[in-house]
Amino acid sequence: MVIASMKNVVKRYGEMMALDHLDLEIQQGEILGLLGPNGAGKTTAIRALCGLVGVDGGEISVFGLAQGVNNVLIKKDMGIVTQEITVFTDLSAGENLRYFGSLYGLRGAELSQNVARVLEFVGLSEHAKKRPSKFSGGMQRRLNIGCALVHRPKLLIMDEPTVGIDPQSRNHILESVKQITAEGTTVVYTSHYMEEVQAICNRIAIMDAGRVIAGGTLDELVGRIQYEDTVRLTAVMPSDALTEDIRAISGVKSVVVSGSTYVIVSGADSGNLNRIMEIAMRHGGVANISADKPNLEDVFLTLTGKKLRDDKEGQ
Amino acid sequence: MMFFTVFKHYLKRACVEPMGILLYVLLPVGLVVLNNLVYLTSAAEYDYVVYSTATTNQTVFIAMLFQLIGGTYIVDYIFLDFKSERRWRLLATPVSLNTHFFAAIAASIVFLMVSNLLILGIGHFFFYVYLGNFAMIFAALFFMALFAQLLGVLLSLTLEKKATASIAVEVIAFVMSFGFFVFAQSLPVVGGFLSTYGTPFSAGMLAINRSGFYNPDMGGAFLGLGILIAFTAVMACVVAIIGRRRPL
Repeated sequence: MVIASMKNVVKRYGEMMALDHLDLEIQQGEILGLLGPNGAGKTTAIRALCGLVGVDGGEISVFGLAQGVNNVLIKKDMGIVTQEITVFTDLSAGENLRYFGSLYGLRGAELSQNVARVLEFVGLSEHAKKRPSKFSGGMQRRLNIGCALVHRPKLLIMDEPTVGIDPQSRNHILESVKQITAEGTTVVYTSHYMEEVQAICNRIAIMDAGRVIAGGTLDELVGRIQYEDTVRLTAVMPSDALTEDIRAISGVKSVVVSGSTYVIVSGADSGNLNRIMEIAMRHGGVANISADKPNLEDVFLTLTGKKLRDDKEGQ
Repeated sequence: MMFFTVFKHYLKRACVEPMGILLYVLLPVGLVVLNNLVYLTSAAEYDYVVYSTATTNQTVFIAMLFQLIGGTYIVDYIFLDFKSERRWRLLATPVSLNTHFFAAIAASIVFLMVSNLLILGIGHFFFYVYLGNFAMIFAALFFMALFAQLLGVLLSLTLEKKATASIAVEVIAFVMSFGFFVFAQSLPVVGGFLSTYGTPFSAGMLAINRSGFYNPDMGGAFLGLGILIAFTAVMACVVAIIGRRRPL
């Protein structure tokens, strides 16, 4: 069931087309990964979906309601995790959660219960009375997420929620996202980190130049690109004869030998892994063998011709 | 209902922010206490049997000055909440940006009025400050605080940096309170008029002083209050026009 959709959405900033006839559907209960290089239009798409910016054309519908006319109704069941930390640093963690809860109409016991639940969920129960300025980056990120969860949204938008944090906090956040979805919340997750998207998202939409250029599950996306299979083999008894026999296999494009290690590149879906194994066994045996599959990074690079993030960003 | 939720939030932030408490409560209270102690220890006892003109002038002056400088409160909130990434988080809630904005202004006004009433109260109970008509004081403090917040909004809308806008509020406050007073010495007619009626600060002082000080003159007090309200109304119109052209 479609919980939100954007059809033919256009958004211009002066001459610049931020959203170029964007089409996007979000299914109930899924984690949709929104991938794209800087300037692809991800943040504008998110803001348009949430009704935070007006659009110049197209239709946006959330929970079956048209965005714009029903802006306030829609916002009540949505949560947004901003890219930057946007909690109030002059209030404690608990006070932040209480305030954001009250903005969504929660009061009294319900508000207190939800605040306690979210504090527990983001692992900050023991720090409820501390101010975020005393927190580590990871704790601030978790509070930033908690503030979007306190009213139990049906649709949660997460805009790069793990930027600049340690691996432990990142894992905590990724596990939390899975748990949120298990409890019935639909999540739209944008990230520069493809391994995150690959790890948690049911479906992925790749954006470039203001439109979705490819969408589907990871397997569907990988299946769309022409790719070569790479097999790494460590032979027990490396020899020239073994090299020649592998080269003779139909579909093998190259064989690079380094000591006892062979790196063999074949056409996609050539099914050469078994043949390589058989030949290597005949030539003295196999110490180790592995096949590299194309990943999301390869898909992205093939579709957009760009790396998702600069090397500097990734460090 | 939502207005009061947001209002309480901003009032709470004003009350827990240590630098704000230091600059807008403790500093003026300290100045009032210090100035008045210095004066009273050197003045002849008959100067302040019932009340003292000097301590009254000093105390009201400091209260009005800090009311005006308090325009920096809304500058802080605008830049921290409405001109930063936090804006998107607030916009994403079902509460309109206008509600957030007007609640922030209301909370700043209430905080400044309470702190300045505290200053006047200390002056009244410990330093022979005569306060005259309480309703007039209340009205003058309110419109002075409203004017200061509108000034802060105007500067926040037109200037790019928070520090520049805050400094501009402070400079304007000091020029209004001291500038025309200095000018009055060299050009008595023009300067005297400006330092009595020509700025929101002087109009506010006039309203409080005439309401019961020297010779109670409610006509003069209402004139001062009227001028202050007129300045505030003009400032509100300017803010509305600029706000339409350069919305938050």
